[in-house]
Amino acid sequence: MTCRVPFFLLASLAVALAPASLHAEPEVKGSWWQKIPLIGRLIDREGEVKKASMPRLRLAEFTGGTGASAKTGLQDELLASREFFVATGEETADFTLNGSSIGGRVNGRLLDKKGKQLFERSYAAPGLDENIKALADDVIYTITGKPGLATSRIVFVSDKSGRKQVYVCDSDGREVQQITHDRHAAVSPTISPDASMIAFTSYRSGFPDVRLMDIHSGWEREVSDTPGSSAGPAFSPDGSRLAMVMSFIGNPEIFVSDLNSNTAACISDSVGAPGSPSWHPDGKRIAFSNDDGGGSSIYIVEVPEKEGQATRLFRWSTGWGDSTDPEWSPDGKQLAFTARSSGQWIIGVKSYAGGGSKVIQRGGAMHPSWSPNGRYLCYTQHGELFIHEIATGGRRSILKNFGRITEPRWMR
Amino acid sequence: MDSPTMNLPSASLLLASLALSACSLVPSISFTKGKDASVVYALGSREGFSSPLNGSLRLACPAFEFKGSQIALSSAHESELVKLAEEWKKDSKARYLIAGYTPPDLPEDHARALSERRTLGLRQRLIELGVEGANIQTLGLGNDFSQTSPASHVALVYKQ
Repeated sequence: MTCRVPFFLLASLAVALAPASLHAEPEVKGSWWQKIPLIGRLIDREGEVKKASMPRLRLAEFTGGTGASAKTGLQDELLASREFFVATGEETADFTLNGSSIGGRVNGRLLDKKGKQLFERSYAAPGLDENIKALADDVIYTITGKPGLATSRIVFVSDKSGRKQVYVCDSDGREVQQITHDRHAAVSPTISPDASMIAFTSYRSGFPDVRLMDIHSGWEREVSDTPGSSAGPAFSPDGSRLAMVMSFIGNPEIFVSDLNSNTAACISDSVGAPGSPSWHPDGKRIAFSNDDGGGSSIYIVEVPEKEGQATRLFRWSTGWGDSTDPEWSPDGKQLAFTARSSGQWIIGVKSYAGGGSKVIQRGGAMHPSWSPNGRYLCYTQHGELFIHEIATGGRRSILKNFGRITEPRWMR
Repeated sequence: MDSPTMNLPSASLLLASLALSACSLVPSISFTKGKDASVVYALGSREGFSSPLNGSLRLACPAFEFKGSQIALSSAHESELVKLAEEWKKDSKARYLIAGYTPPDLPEDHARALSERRTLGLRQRLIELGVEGANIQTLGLGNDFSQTSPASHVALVYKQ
């Protein structure tokens, strides 16, 4: 009945210590971030004015009954993106946006400097706001190649109902919707890259299992139904796999589950308590935290492409103790994480694979998650949800007095 | 810096179906410094085990307390585990659910992992002391229920 097979210890095999240099922790000049665009310039942390080569976008006429409202809304969204110099007059610009809006429907047309049409699209969602946001994101993506935030969503956990449940809101903390109504609790949500699915940890059975929910239809299915605990899912960049912690083998390990075949592969080899997996945008590496009894550290493991493939595992030093909740930036060049400094939880960001790190926020901030364009982090602090602009250090609370908010994750 | 290459031992085992819920024992690590430090015992089916979330359960022994990030078992843990194992030998049909809890100030995902790790360490030691592995189930609750459950570094053994 008992099957015993020799096992190898992670520590003796594969741990390479990254240089554990301590980095200076710059003081955060936390001026309260007003949602006022800095047109044509960015101010860095030291207060120096940087000239930025932002493109100039001219917002031209929007005809039709709701055209004026559409233009005003678009101006707000495009200015808030801080990706352009937005002009509304007749001055020359690199791009011109015009169109029409009737009854809340919006038609937008983007032209380049030479008058060549880059796209023309119609947006027919029920609300004018929704259509404006979709058009604004399309304009931002077409010009910058980076996703806009107007239609992006943040999932998070709140105990507002008396039990921890999963909610979603937009990047302004508005349009809050409760996603789960579980009997006990639903935690550690993550949203699929196409924003159609949410994976989360459910205590519905009395034990933690990972479940998948279609946001639009509410259809759900169980991803794991194994003994012990399954928790902390993270979607791969292509949305076809989930990394998560499972302990059915008698040891908690990071597994990668293929959502099409419903198979799972163990990719860690830990003697501790691994958790918080996060995919590199290339889908070939996963960062996770692991506590072997001496405090949590961050590790990076390569994901084998086929069975039996040798992979490497690194310990990645943040420079701070008790580092956990790693999340890769959308360009894969940085990792944000939670760590402990002077007895308090902090949010830090460090370049990958080497380079300096910096404290983004002190005073009990936890669970950083990158905006799709890599410009902001969202995180929680004392149960409040914040958005923090990396370049300026400015931040603002987008949701408070909504129970105790934890574990936010921005749509990637 | 060159990094050692790890041929993941589980790589051949790894593409295991999630239907492994009914698996018996597969290898992993022992927490203890005992004779079989390279063997870990997989969990059996959860069927028939009651979660403390679904009703009050009877404690089988005093709480196992941990400090900070501690996951290794102490001598105080050991003596209590020996007593529990002896008790089980008198009633070998007895089943235990070990649930781990942490304080509310820890990052939630880390709290879940830490609490689950501790419960698995306790289970591992009970098996080494002679308790049948299929009779012990674990549950890491972290601080997800700290308003209604213990809000400290503790693992509770419930008799089923």
